[in-house]
Amino acid sequence: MPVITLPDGSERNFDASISVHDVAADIGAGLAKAALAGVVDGREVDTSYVINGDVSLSIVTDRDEAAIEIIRHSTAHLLAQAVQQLFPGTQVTIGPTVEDGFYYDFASGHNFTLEDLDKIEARMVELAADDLSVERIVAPRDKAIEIFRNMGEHYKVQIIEDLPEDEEISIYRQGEWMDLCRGPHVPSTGKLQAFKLTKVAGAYWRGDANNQQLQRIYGTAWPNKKQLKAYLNRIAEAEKRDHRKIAKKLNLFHTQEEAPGMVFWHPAGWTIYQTIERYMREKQQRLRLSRDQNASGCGY
Amino acid sequence: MRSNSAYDYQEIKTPQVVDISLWQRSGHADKFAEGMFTLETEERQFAVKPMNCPCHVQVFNQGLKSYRDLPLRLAEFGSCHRNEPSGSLHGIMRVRGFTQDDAHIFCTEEQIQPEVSQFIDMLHEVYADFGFSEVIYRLSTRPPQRVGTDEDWDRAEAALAEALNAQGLPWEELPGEGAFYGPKIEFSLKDCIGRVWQLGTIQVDFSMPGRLDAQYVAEDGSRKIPVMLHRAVLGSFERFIGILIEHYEGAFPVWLAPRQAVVVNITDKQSDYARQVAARLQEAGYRVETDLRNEKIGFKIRELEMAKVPYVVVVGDKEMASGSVSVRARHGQDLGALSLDQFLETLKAAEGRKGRDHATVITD
Repeated sequence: MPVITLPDGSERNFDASISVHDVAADIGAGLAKAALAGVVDGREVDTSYVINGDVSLSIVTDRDEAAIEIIRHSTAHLLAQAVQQLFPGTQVTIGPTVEDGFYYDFASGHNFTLEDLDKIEARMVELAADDLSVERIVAPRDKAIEIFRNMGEHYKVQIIEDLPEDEEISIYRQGEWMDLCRGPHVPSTGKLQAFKLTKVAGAYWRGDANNQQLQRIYGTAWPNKKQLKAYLNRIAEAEKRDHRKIAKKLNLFHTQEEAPGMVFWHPAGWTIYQTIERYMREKQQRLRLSRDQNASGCGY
Repeated sequence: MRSNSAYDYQEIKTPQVVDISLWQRSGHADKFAEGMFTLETEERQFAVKPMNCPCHVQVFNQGLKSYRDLPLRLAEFGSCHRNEPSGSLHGIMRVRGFTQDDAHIFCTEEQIQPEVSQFIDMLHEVYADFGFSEVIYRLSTRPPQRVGTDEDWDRAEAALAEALNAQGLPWEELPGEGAFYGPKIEFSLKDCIGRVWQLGTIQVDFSMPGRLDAQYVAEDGSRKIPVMLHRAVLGSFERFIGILIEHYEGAFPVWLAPRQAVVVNITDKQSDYARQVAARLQEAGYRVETDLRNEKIGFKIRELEMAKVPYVVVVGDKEMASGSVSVRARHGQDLGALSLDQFLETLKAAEGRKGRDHATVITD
């Protein structure tokens, strides 16, 4: 008979085990619709998570800070699903969140271009519109290895083999597509409404240059379109202000391959530099007066 | 708050290339080996200095120091090199060769708090002069691996916290994020598009003075090891200027602008007068050029506005006849006809404001 304590301290009693989603529905239909995940006794879980005992629970909606990570992580899955549909033979590796977004590293015979990103993004939009439900499956280790081996996902097999023996192995499925993942994830792809793929870069399996080369697709994702737009504006503004571009236009300095990471200051840039140096020197300078008063001096 | 005051530092300059043995004693050869450029000559190994602190201790160590000499503040615009991975380099924001506005304060434990307070005052003045008003404060406390006793850490952390609290500054604690040698405060700025840049820092160091044999004679005649505070306001000049370029979008306030004003003639007839005006402004100490090319005045003005020159000083027949100038401020603001003295006053006032009016600079 679970007694569930909500963030406001109120308690709800249920006769039987109940999922996070159903608790949300019990509170209100709006909340059930908005629920992206739950936090049960401090641990983030899917909305499908079933509560058996007395716990504290908060429902994560797009207003919560926790939501953004989950959305980005789920969008990384959406990206991988779209890539594997469009480019069969591509293997998935890892797809974590980063500041402002996420990436996914792929092993593919195809070289991803910026035009490909548009295509992939369009497919992601379709998959989100399909509102595929996202399902968590717990599999025994051997079974999980077999599943991914049969799928030809050799990197995932390696990841499972490296997991500690006692780690629960969970697989997330949306539509036909599956990925090994700890989760949690949004309950369905329809919750992913504000994302954009930003760039493609090179990477190495496990970040080691001696390993296989991978291709990394970066993207950004937000709880809503307004926040996405604000972020994209911020990026555009930052690009417009790129100091390398402005420095070239104003002839402030340059760098060149013969001295990587070192600056050739031009007269205009060096004028700014010297002005700041002079200013800092003045700020720090010992007051003649106080030095004279300091009879002991210090011998320099 | 001490405003318009100079702070009590002594500037020094220390070597660029130093025998590896000093870096071994300071611990950098061990902990920072990958970040150091090394070279060999006459069968001796040297490293290009990745930081200035061990050299500053060498200066402190010259001559016997007494408690009366403390706090002793040694400053250096220290040119450092670090072997950062080539993939991480970015313009002048992430570089291998850079110059820090570095200083080390040798002091007693009791002096930590007043020193940190004074440093924060200076930092606020400097940031305000560059047009940054929003500062973010973070205090990093003891990590699991550390030198010094728990009592040392208790007192040092309390001193840093108290320095922030005394000014009513809001700060965030980063537990366990301190260096192994002591706690630190980091100061970050928000630029005009909301990006946060960590710039300033003040770090307590319980380790290096002892490793490098720094001592002073205490009031009771005993020998003691001073505490060392590492501190920087801007961090590195290169990165800071990179941030300023992006913050101002190239439209530097008058005090920093490479060309503060450019004098342009309308026709060839005013060339001499334009030169005279420019000379007069240069004599008054301003960075002024002329543009006497045989181009349409509109074209020249547009070009100078694109180049973000704060003032375009236009001279035609009318101005020449009356000994005046017509001034256009950046962003198309017309200041009209001014006497040269009036314009000098304008320049002086604008330069004196430093970056404190930057909000208007970027939006007007």
